[in-house]
Order: sequence, then structure tokens, then C-alpha cells
Amino acid sequence: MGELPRRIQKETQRLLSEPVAGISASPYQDNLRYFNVVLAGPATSPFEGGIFRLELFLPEEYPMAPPKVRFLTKIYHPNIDKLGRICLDILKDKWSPALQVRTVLLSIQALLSAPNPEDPLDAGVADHWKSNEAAAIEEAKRWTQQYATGSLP
Amino acid sequence: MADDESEMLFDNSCDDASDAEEDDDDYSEFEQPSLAQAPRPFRCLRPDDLREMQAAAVKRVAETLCCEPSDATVLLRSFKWDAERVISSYFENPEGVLEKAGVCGSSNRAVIDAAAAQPYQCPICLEMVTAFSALGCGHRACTPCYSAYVGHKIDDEGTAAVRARCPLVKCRVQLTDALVNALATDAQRARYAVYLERAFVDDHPRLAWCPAPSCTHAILMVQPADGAPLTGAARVACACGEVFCFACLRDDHSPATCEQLRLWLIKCKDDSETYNWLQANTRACPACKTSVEKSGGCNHMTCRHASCGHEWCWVCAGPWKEHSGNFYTCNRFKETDDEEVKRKDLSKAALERYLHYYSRYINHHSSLMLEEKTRQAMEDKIAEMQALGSNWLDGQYLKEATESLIACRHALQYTYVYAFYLPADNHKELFQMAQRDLEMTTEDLSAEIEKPVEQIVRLTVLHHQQMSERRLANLFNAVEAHRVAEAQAALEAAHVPGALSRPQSQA
Ligand SMILES: [Zn+2]
Ligand SMILES: [Zn+2]
Ligand SMILES: [Zn+2]
Ligand SMILES: [Zn+2]
Repeated sequence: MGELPRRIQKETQRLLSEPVAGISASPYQDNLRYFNVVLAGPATSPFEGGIFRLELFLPEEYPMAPPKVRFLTKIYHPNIDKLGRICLDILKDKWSPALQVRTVLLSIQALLSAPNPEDPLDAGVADHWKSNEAAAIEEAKRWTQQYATGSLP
Repeated sequence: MADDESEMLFDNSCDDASDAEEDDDDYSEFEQPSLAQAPRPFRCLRPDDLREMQAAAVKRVAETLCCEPSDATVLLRSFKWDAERVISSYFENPEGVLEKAGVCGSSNRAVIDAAAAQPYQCPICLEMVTAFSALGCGHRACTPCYSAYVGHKIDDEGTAAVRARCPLVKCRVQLTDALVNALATDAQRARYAVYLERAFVDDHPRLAWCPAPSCTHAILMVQPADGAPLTGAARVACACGEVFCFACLRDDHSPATCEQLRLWLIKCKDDSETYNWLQANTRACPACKTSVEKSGGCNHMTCRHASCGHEWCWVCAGPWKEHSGNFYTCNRFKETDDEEVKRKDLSKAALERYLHYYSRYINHHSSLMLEEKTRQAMEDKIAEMQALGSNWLDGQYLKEATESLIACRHALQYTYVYAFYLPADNHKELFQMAQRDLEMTTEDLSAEIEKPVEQIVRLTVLHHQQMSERRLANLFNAVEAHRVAEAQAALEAAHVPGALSRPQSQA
């Protein structure tokens, strides 16, 4: 792999020097395109109080191609599947090279606050969400308490 | 097990000769009102013709709306290349049309590699720069970043590159071909041109690529004079020889509709694997059980076993003598009237019914495969005839007869798809009569031209060929008349809800 592009260096510096509230993202020393992400569940969402780990990778074509992001912590959410893959338009066809790691993580945080069962990735969870939202939220809270137990660095 | 199935398959129709109908005279075909048999007109376009057609549409829009050709291209793409609709919609609602298409008004031109008065931060590389390119929306990025963006769309996104947008977040303005061509490398420009051409044909509702693997032609359906939309199957023939359905790009499947064929193919995929043996080329003679090989497309089998000589039908295994005149009922499935039987074994009945149609469908299909061989063998036969003293021209009628035969088989194959989905009514009766007539004369024709050269009688061939062609036309006429009547009835039902009689026309 070639030298780390200046854009990635700049983004990394800013993520470390001016972190976003509730989000920490730091590159691994042996691969500066690979980030360890820790995200606090947003207040007034079923994920409140939870600490979620994600991995984020910047492919060779970045920023022309979007970053690859995945939840490592189990989460009960209609747009996130069992493998932690995320259904979010800006990570696919709505990607723009003017978006950054920072904006991507903010969008993921927003997705936790506003699940969208109409555009599901996990059909089972989405059906639960549509048929009995209160019960689905309870289930999401239980999962948060059970699995999302880390702490922000 | 296999024996049971063959019984089930072959015992259901040929013993039923009750369907008396005085039709032995070959010329007493039932008359259909003479409908315009002319297929919908189409043209075969070469790559140059396509470029010309595309350029003409761009010129028309650019000149009428006084806009850049590259903006006209984007507008046309969002209106499926209907230049007149672009123009009329634009004059009705210019802002709305531009917005929807992702085009900037003519006052906002794209800028390619200019210098900004003040340094700004490029939103892609995040450097402070002065050089920039931008579409009409004015969203700047430094030229190397813009070029990398354009290049990425072409290299990694294939045909979708023609719908790429401004690189800025949520901006809907479309990349124009002028900007792409200014920023892309030569190789990318060449690929982009191919994508534009592909998209032109894909987006244009009256254009379709010829599906033959190495063909670069496209078929253009000529716009009907009344502006009626194109609906349903349409047989088209490419200059390369490929014949296909314009609507679904599959094999020409008339008289079946595209939807019938789609359902049928799904059904066959699900059901037919167990019955692949139907395609096998040897079957036991029903009389002596010696296996007999099918060598040509003709379904009239003669057992070659020394003392037997039994003549039978490959499809239904019934005696061949029942396959002429009034007795011919091989094509119809005998629906049982016995309510008790119906209730007892609905799924068995459904399977039998399906197998009836499927076996005949696949049989014409396999015969067609053999007929392709016949086509080649015919050349040899003609050569042989020349050797026997006739001149080259004399043999050509056999070639024409072979083509007729192939056309009839081709249609017959799909008549079973069509009939499978027909409700049991008057039209089905008529259709099956036409199908039966066609099938009989097709078999006669097939048998005659498969004979050894010295036994072929030219007049007999011509007679069967003419009969086949006429009956094929009759069959299509019956289908077309029915389609028109149904469409008319649907229209009337829609206009006059609950009315039973035709609306009176006002003079
Ligand atoms: Zn730049
Ligand atoms: Zn823009
Ligand atoms: Zn072709
Ligand atoms: Zn079709």
C-alpha cells in the first residue's frame, strides 16, 4: 500500500484533535486506513447508555468510494443486520467524495436515534418494529444493556 | 415408475374421435375476417445510424431551447429521448423540467479548469487551492479531484456513469458529456462514449439491442401514426438474421404473450427436470416394444422391426392412421368431466394437463432442433438432385419448403404455451381447430421433405407448403381477432360500467 494520502492524514488529525461528542475514532498504528470506532448510544433512544464498537476501513479508492463500516457490538436495529452491516444510503449510492469519516459517523449516530423500518436490512427486526414498536424498543434496550457494555476511551 | 408416467402421459387423447367436424377438404378453412397481418413496422439500425439518430434529437432540442447540446442530452435522457415531449414540457414549466432533469439554466455555465480569485478549500482533497472546475451549480472542486471523480465513475460504475451527478453532497445536477470529455483520459472518453450509446438504446422505449451475442445492431420500432404506445409482443428480425420478440428480447414466441411465456418458462424450470426423458430420441414401438429412433423432425413413426411395421405418433403413441382428417385430436387435452375424478385428484389432473402441453411444446422444440439439421441436409439433397439430372434452380423449392416448415414448427411450439393459459371457451375451441389443422399439414410437409430424394414429389411438397402457410396465417388471424375483441370489450367495460350492450355511436 502506498503512502497515506494527505486527505486521510488531515481527516485523522482533525478527528483526534476535535473529536465529535459521543464518538471516538482512532486509526490502528499498523494500518492507518483502519479505524477503531467507539460510539455512545444517543440520548432518548433505545440505545442510550450503550457503548458500541465499530470498525471503519478506508479503501484504496477513498474518497471516491465510501468507507466500509460495520458494527462489532451486537445491536437490535432494523437497519443493521446480524453481521453488523449498516443500511445507509450515503455508504452506497448516495456517497459523495465531499463526505468525510466525521460526517459518516454522525449519520450513523443519527440512524440510531431514528431507525427506519421501511428500508430494512434485517427483515425480522423491521417487522417487529412495524408490528409492535414498543416491544421492539424494549428488546433493543435489553440488547443494549446486555451487549453494549464497554466504555468510551 | 417410468412406465406409469408414460401411460399417464400418452393415453389421454388419441382414442377420442368423437369430435366430428367436416373438414377433410383441405381448402374449407374456417374464414376469419381478413385482418391486417402486417407486423408492426420496424427498422434495423447500425451503430452509425444510432449515432445519427441521437445527434438529430440533441440538435432538435438544443436549437429549439437555445441550450448547450450537452444539456439537451441530459434533458433528453430524463424524457426517454422523446424530443417533442422535452420541448413541450419545457415551454410549460421550464424550471420544473430543468430541476427534474438535473440541468442548470443557460445563465449558469459549467466551468472547466479556471482559477479562483481567492484560494478556497477543495471539498475533496481538503487542500487550499485556486484551480477549479464546476458544473452549472457552481460547486467547485480542484481540477485534479474533479478529474479523479469523473474517472472513477467511468472506470468503476459502468453504464451508471452516464447518470453521475455533481460530486458535492446532495447536489442533483448531472455531469454533462462536455465536462466529462474535458476531464477524462482518452481511454475513459472512449468508454464513456460507449456507455452513452448503450444508455441511449436502453432508455429509448422504441429501441432494443439485438440479443445475438456478437451483433451491434439495434431495432427501432416505428412510431404508430396514431401515437399509440407499444404494448405486447412483437416479432422483429435483425439484419444479422436474429429473430426475437421486441418486448421481452426472448425468442419470437407468437402466438403466446410475453407474460404467458414468462410464466411458462418458470413453470417448466420448476416442473420439467424430472421429465427430461421426453426429449430423448428413442422410444419403444407401442406394438412390438422395439426401440425406434427419431431421426428427423417428423412425428410419423414407422417401426423398422422386421415383422412389425407399426405406424404411430411420436407424441401421443397412438396409431398414425388416427392422425388424419377428423380423427386428429392429438393436440387437445381431454379435460375430464367427471366431477368425482376432478375432486379426487386435482394435483394429478393439473400435472397431467401440464404434461400434455409440455410434451407437445418440447416435442416441437426438439423437432425444430432436428429441422436445423434438415436445413443443412437439404443442401446435400439439392446437390444430389443435381447429380440425378435436375438443375440447381429446380432444387430451390425444397429450401423454401424447409423454411416454411421451420416457421410452422416454431409457431406450433408456442401455440401450446398459448393454449395452456386459455380458458376453456369458444375461442379455445377455434384455436385448437386451427392448431390441429396446422399441426397435421406441418407433419405432412415434414414427412414429404424428409423422404429420400428420388421419392420426393415436387407438387406434393408445394401443396403441403401452401397449406401450412395458409393455416399458419389462419391461426395468427384467430389469435389477433380474439385479442382485438378482448381489448375492445375491456375498453367498453371501462367506459360503460355495467352496460351489457355496445354503446351507440352518435352520428
Ligand atoms: Zn482537490
Ligand atoms: Zn453541484
Ligand atoms: Zn442482430
Ligand atoms: Zn415477448
